[in-house]
Amino acid sequence: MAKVAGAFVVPHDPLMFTSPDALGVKRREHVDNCYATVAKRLNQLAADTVIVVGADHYIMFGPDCLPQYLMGIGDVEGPIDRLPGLTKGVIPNDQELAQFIRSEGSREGYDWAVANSLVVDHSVMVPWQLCIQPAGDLKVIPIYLASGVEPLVPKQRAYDLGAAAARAVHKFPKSRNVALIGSGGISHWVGMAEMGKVNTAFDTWVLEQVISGNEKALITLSDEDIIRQGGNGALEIRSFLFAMGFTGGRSGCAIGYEPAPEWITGLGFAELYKT
Amino acid sequence: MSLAALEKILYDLGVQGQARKAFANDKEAFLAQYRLEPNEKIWVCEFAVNLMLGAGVNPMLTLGYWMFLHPSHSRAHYTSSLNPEDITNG
Repeated sequence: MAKVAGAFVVPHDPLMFTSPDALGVKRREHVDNCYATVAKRLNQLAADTVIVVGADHYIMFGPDCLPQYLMGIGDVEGPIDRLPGLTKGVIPNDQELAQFIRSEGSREGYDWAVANSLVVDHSVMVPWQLCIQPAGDLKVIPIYLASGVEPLVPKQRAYDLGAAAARAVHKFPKSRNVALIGSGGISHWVGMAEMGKVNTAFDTWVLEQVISGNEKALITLSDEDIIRQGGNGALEIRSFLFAMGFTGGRSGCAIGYEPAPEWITGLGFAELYKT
Repeated sequence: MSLAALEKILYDLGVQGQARKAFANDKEAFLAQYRLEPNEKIWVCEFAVNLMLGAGVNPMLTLGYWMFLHPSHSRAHYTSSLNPEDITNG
């Protein structure tokens, strides 16, 4: 009875909040309109639950515990990292579906780490505030992939987890229309000497692979190549791969792209159609 | 070199206000809680982020620690302090 509605990829750049005017009016409006487009599409798709796939930034998880992939299956709130304009609050979790996805994953051999009480960071809070809340009374399932701290989750595993989540949704015995947001920037060198650089050619190539459903191109790209071309932040394309696995789609459309060296990130937005 | 201890102390300083207060109040006592080499204690006190990166510390940790604790609280100062030659040879 439950079904996949579609998926999106969006960035979660915290500098949008700490330096809101850095891009000037026109480029800022472009970014805002991209988020608004995702909100509008979530509404048009009549989604009622949104899985948000984020990346920890060595904030939520420390050296004493680094999960490969984790799902919030209980109480959810945020953000843990306070940013001006990012409103602190409770996020309504679709606990029933989250626990079902976890148990189905376990049955298939995907041993999810879980959090019964999770305080999310900006990688979930930004899409929550800018895309999901404006779309209506939707519930959320937060997921974190190890995309920024070693050991990184393998890219193939990120894709496979998305596919497994979709299979679980299709098996869920209650009515749901489930969308997914893969949350991550494209090129950005966080804390590296190149911080502030944006590689538009790399960003454009990544978006092309996402909307054409060419997951193999992203999976076979080595992490060393990703860091060389897109910085350590671009390792977050694992969230995009999860979205691609979730829709199983071979088509999508670009919503927008804004190279933002002022915000140290290439910002890409796209929709992935369900198969 | 003790990468795990370096990452642990930077993580604590980046996410725990109490740790930052303790560090500000008594650096030696705070540093003694971590299994750091003598030179690494100096790196932490002197914001030698280039040397930390050269030792393999995650850049998200060095950036967070700098933004909270360095007197400049400046991303630009952080970036300018990173000399790629130092990272290579560190």
